[in-house]
Amino acid sequence: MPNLYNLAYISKNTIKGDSEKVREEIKSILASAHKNNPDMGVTGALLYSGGYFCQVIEGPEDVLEELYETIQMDDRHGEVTVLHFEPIEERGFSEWAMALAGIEDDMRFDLDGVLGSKDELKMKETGKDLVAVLEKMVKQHQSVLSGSA
Amino acid sequence: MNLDLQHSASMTDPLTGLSNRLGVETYLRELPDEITATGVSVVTMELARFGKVNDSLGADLGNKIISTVAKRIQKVFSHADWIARTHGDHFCLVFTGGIDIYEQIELLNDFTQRPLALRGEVIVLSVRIGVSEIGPSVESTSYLLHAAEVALHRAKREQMKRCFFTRNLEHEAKEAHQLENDLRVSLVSNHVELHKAISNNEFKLMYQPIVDVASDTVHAVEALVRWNHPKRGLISPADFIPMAEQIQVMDVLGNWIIRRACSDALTLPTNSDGSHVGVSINISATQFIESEILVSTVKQALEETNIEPQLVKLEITESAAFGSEKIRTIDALRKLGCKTALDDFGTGYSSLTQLNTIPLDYIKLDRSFIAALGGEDQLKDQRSDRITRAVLSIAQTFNLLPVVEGVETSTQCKRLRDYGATLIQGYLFSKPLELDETRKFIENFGKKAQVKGVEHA
Repeated sequence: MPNLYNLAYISKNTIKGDSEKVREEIKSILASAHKNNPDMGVTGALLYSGGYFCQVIEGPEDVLEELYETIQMDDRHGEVTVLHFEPIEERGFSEWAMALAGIEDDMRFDLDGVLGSKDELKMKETGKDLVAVLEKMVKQHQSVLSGSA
Repeated sequence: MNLDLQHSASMTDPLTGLSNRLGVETYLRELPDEITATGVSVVTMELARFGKVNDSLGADLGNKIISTVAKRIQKVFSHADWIARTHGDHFCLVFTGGIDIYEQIELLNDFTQRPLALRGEVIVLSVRIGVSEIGPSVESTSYLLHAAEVALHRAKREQMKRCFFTRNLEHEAKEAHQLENDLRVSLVSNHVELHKAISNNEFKLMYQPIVDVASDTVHAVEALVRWNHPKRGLISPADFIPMAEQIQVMDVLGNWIIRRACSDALTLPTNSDGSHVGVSINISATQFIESEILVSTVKQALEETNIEPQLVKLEITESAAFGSEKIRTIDALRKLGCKTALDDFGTGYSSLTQLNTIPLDYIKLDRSFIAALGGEDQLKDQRSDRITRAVLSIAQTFNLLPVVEGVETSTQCKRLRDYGATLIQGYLFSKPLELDETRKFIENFGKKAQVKGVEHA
């Protein structure tokens, strides 16, 4: 597929309420992704980790631009840091409109020095890490996820 | 929003679909009194690094950035009374009624500075904001946009994130604007106008002697430009050089300075030992941008005046950007036979590596080094002494002749001489002088030296 990109970002959860409330919101985020993404040719994965959303979205460049603008305006999160936005050869999450990689209490990534810093190399590296980790987690939980979808 | 206005084509910005400048001006002018009475605030915003992004990533992406930012503003500020793109990367929002303006500024900061992901690029912009409010400082709504822009201009100049308009600001802005205008009128980057200004004697060169205390001669004189404004009087280069650079007339003025200084230098008397007095000329960083013009101007000035090239010393200010292009230019100037000096050494972006790569003959020690030398404060004196010696030994190591600026006392002079620095510039010997006074200074300096010589004998 020509013009295929992926975009990885991390953002801080601003949903008020307990973890149950957060789970509910994540479910609703996934539900709207499952509804809208297939038509737009978007696939991806979402991880909730230690108060942060870590998301990878992949699809045509112009569609990702639009989708990112919608996502970053969503008031369920803030402090959006885009780790990378790059062309890719093939999708990493081709089978999922939006796979849930997990909901974890502890932050999985070493975010010190990445968030708020302008170190592009470090951000890109973290971006690649993020994609790799999400791919692994999604594969591990494939059966669980396909059961719940 | 007033739909009639917003939908009129002449008041719409085609790129963003927002109102344009004319639109917001009209809206503000026609704002009914009863709304004005509830309070009106105008917020202007510019994308601070937009020019750079536009240059490096292209105008197409630049347009995409503008339209994306416009969409964000529209989405977040659906409660604003008016939104416009006033020009380029400038936006404007109008709020009426009792709103919390600080809250609006926060929102604007937040949403416009979130990263943009466009065309496969991640772009993080920063914004500056200028605000004006109806009240004692601005009484008419038709003046609000201008007032907010004055505040924005100030924010930009002072590197602030945001600035509120006040009456004082207006006064300052008028002054700066007037000066800029006058400079344009005097120069207009066109030679006819420039010759007019020069023949009006509005610009003139003054000369400060650089004395060689080892040989009791005047080594050179530094040419310093002054603008003698018909109404304002003498204006310091610190005020008009940055302006001349900004409105891109520095090369024209710079070229005049080079030619004038070379021809003036020829009229200087020789020292009592027969040696010639050189002339030191400041070259502005912007003159290096048109490097070919700079080199050909110097070449032409040398040919026209027939001055010995080694008497011409070109002072280059330290800056971060001593790229290979600039070094090639300095090389070309030296090939013409001129000497080169690194000005204000040790204050800005001093890098010892640069001393290895820039082809130089002199370094000029900034006056700040020696200001406390020999002063009453012992601690400051010690520090000053230490750093002066260090810099002088650097000069020696790199085989460069040090020139020390800002020498005011004989104690300083003696100390510097003990440390091996013999080229001294400063009020101890002379302030900057008119050309004819400069000639007299050189003649008298020679006579005094002879008298001293007789005394010593």
